[in-house]
Amino acid sequence: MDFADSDTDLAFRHEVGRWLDGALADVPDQEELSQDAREHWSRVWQDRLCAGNWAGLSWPVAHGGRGMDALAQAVFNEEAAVRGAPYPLNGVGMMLAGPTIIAHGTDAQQARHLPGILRGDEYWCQGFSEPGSGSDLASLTTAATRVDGGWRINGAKIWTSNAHNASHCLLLARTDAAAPKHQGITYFLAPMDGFTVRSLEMINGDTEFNEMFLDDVFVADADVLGGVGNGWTVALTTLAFERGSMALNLWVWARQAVDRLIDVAVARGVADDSAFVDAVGALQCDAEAVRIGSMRMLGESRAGGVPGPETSALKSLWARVVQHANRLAVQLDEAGGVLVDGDGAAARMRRYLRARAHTIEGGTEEVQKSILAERVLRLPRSR
Amino acid sequence: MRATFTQEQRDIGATVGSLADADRGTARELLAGPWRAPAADGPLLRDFGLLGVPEPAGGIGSGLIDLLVAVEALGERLVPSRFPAHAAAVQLLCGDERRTGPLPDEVLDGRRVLTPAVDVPGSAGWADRVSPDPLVRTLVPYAAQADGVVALGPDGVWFADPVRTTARQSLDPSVPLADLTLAAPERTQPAGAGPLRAALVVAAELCGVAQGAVDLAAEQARTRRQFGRVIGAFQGVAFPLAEAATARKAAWDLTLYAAWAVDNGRPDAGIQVHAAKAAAGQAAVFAAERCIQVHGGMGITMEADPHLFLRRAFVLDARCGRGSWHRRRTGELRIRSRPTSRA
Repeated sequence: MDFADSDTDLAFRHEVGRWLDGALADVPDQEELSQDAREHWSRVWQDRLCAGNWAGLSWPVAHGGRGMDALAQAVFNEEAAVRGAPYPLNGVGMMLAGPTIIAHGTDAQQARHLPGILRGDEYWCQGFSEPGSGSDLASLTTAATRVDGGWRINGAKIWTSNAHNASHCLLLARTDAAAPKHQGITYFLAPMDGFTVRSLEMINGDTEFNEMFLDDVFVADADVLGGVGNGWTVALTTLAFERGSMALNLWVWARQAVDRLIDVAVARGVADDSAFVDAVGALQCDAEAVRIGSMRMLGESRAGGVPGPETSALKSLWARVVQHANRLAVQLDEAGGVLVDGDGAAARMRRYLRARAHTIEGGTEEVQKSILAERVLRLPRSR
Repeated sequence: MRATFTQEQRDIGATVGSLADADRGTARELLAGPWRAPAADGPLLRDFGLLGVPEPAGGIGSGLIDLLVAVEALGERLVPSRFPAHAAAVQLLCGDERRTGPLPDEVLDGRRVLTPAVDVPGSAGWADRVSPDPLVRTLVPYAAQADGVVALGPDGVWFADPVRTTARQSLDPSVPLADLTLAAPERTQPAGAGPLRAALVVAAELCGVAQGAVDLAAEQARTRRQFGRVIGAFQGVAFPLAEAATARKAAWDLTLYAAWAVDNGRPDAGIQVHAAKAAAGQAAVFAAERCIQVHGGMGITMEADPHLFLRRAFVLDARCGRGSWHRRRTGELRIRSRPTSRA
């Protein structure tokens, strides 16, 4: 078992690093910015990725990508994250929509959407979750009714990142109410004309998530992806891409959370307290385990294996590190985090509150544990 | 960055695993009565002694991970063999590339069985140790069953002569423990990465213990029925086992990476080993405790097996620096590596 970069990997890492250093030279530290400013930089960053031909890094050459593998994408994401790069505004387009359309789309669908994603002028969001269907996604009730030339869709979606910036939506809707719940779903590549988007204010004041209301929205037959009634299978592809692209960033975020915690403790003069040192020791173990586990996961995929339920363990460890580190950081504040009139204290509290989402978004902690219980421990389904 | 096991490493795991399968019951048999060698003891010492030994020390190009894969397989089945202790003692001698020559043949082919003497009474870890060396070592495994002792002191490592051996009552009777009083060494050799290498052997066995405990607990959760269904269908039972499996995976990943870092002289090797040893001890104790819990009333009886995992976990967590000490070292090194902390 060898954890070193190969010469090729190393050369690519250096190429990426050189480009990033130039492209990030005028980009401020995102952690300290307001949400509006962060969104501005996310859009700028997306444009730079597209202009630099990085948007389709791991897409096949035939579809306008650079044909590199998941490891190359991991290297890129890692180098970007360690430099504190903004999150690209069309991550859903590059990481989810594009790969899913490549996997399941017709030639016409690929021709219609892929160039726009690579150019950076077709933005996507993901319309999966619903108010009544969170962890139990397959119970979704947004209804599509057959009409001439397409479907009329009614329902509500929630937790949609970036809906306010997107022109298109990866939309799941029920096309056959009589079929078993996994079989009556269809996946649409829906233009968002007629969607009503309303932002949700999160506990930290941010509005990164939205609700979407669909009232008699028309979607054409040509926008059905993967066939009527096959939506669940197509959705699983998207979710696999989502897990894959997330997993590559997790370890950097975990390390940065620990870095910030240490900086706060040093500034407050408590970095030598034994309780603090012990806490950092425990955090470091988990944070490194995420990094090494990600490397092993990538190694397995490159060797032709499919990333298994271990990704659930990595996500679980990551969430714990970031939540714990961010909680300790606010607790080190003068008044235990409850006075948020200083910029630093407010930013720390905002991060702590944001981190509460980590055990909810992208599959709740409980769902991750169920996956481990069923697939690693071979216990019966408990949900 | 392949980060996958080689075919050879898979083969080592499978071979040692099947050798160890024959000894699955031996830890229980040794609960009462004196230690005696399990069937795998001789073959392991004779045929696997070159695993993880660097070439300057007489090895044949096998990396540390090869050895750890073998030791993990033994830990999983609680095999009470002298092999892991012997291998840790050998690794203690393998940490400095300036060492003069290969280890004696009789050590590498298992005719002379060694044991490591690292831990000092009242001191949680090796780097806390102050000179003068008290020349007393505790928690020495298989002291009466070994042919030689490799000691670690502030000045390095040496083949030690015990002046006095005091058998102690071990929490895990399948791993006899003793206090040794050592003669002052005539000369020592630099320990280098030896203590790190030895600690990883212990970490690997702990990862095995954690895996064995998780497996046993999961089997119980799949078969024991209450309220009309198997208890693994209850999330209150299943989730702690998922946590144990996660902790075990984290510890094993850390251990493998640390071994690679040590073998390749990476600058972060030290912190990686401390993290691995801390995580492995915690994962093993946690898994064993969960294993007891999932067995319900039977879990707290001598006749059920879960407590065997807990005993081994405790004994190994304390060996080559306690887990709590390794965790604190991890934190110290992590904080020190931040630029802000040097201001």
